[in-house]
Amino acid sequence: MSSNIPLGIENVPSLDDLPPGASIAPTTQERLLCDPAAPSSWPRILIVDDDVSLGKFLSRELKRKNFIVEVRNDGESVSSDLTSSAYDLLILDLNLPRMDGMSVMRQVRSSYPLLPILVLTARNRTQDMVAGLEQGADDFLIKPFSLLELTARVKALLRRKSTPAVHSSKAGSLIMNREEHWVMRGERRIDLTSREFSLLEYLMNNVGKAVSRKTLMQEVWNIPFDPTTNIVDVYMKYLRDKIDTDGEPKLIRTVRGIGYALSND
Amino acid sequence: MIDKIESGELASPGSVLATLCSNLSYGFHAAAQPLAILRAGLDVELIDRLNLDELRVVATSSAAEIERICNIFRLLQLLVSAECVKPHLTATALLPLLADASEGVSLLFENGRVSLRTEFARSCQPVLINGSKILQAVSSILLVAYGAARPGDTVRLTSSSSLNTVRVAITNLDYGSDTLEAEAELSMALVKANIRSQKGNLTWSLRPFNVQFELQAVPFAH
Repeated sequence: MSSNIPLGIENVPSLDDLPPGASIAPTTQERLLCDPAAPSSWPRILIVDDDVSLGKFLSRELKRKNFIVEVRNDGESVSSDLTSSAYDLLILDLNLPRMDGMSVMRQVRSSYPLLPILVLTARNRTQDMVAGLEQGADDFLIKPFSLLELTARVKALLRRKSTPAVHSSKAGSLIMNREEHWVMRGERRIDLTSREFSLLEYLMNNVGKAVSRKTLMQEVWNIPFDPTTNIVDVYMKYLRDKIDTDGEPKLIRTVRGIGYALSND
Repeated sequence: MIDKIESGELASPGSVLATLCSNLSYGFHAAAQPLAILRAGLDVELIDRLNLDELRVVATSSAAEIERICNIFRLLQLLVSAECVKPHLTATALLPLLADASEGVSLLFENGRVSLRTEFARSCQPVLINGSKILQAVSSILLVAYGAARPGDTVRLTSSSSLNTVRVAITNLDYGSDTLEAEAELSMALVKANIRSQKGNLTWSLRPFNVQFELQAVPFAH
């Protein structure tokens, strides 16, 4: 799916916000990351992973992205956790002690059919994924994954939960109709090849966020690794030439070190 | 540093396990390069002496190496999966897959001034494959072919069909390359494993670039 990061200013300060030479003492950093005054409107995520370090890391980073996060290291208490607190998303590892991830998923799905479940797994076998999806997983992420990709998938699942499916989307003056397969910028109709359309569709689904080249390879070309070519850059150039013509505000931006983003204006 | 295993050193050369071991050892060796860079660059004592700007440089360069390791690791995961897990095979029309793979790289070729010609058999029996993996394989071969081509070259993607098999060829008879980058080498190993696991047969040479594979056709009902 995607490796996106929000381009807007984050509410929680990060190391990037500090002046050169400054540092954050661990206690201060800890306070920022575990802010007890976090607004209750922030999405609540339950992470279940037996790897303590990974759980802590994910918790810390997702809190930095304005999520409220709880971590459990085994699957046994998940049902009672979900009963006692309302969560918006479950991030679930498949290899868990005592109660394995598949069993947890079955149990959760029967009681909470609408709760999005993102499965983290080191297993990349198709059968495992098919079984997981049949048991109720909404999405999979295979270890090792990038934090950007995890964040993007979390956001996509939360978005999917809160918004009904739409056939057309808009970014600035750009309109895409998926059902009828056309794209317009203002009054100008834009002819795209099938792959360009898929590329733009992915950017429009993640408007305002940076999407990595690797993610685009996976999502638009179905190639889950970097083939060591500049194929994404080349297609993006062709797409950009069609979308951003002379005199129009540039909608497709290159995000240095990451990939590309589609602006909203 | 992990040494590569030469094929002559394998306990039972030619077996699937031996091939997998050889590819894994190649992948570990490839991953050891960025790991060595990370280990040298992320020395704790050295980092203590860096200012924020210098730390940023180390972080940025390390991120690229980590991406490379993850990429190799991902390829190794897929390789193990391709060698050890039976794929789910269904009767699939191959030509739309080939057309899709070709469309997916056509602008890259155009941009690099490498001509991509496609010649598909007019009619082609369905083949017993995992469509997603074959699409991935053909796309990967095309990208490797592109990487090994010069501007002005012609890469051909062709398919032909006989009673029991469908043959796909990706060739660049103008040129080739003597070596591939580690990731390209691993992705070709993955392609080979995927084709083999789908009861197919793949042969390839780098110079001239010539990759051919056959898949089992599902006979037309009489």
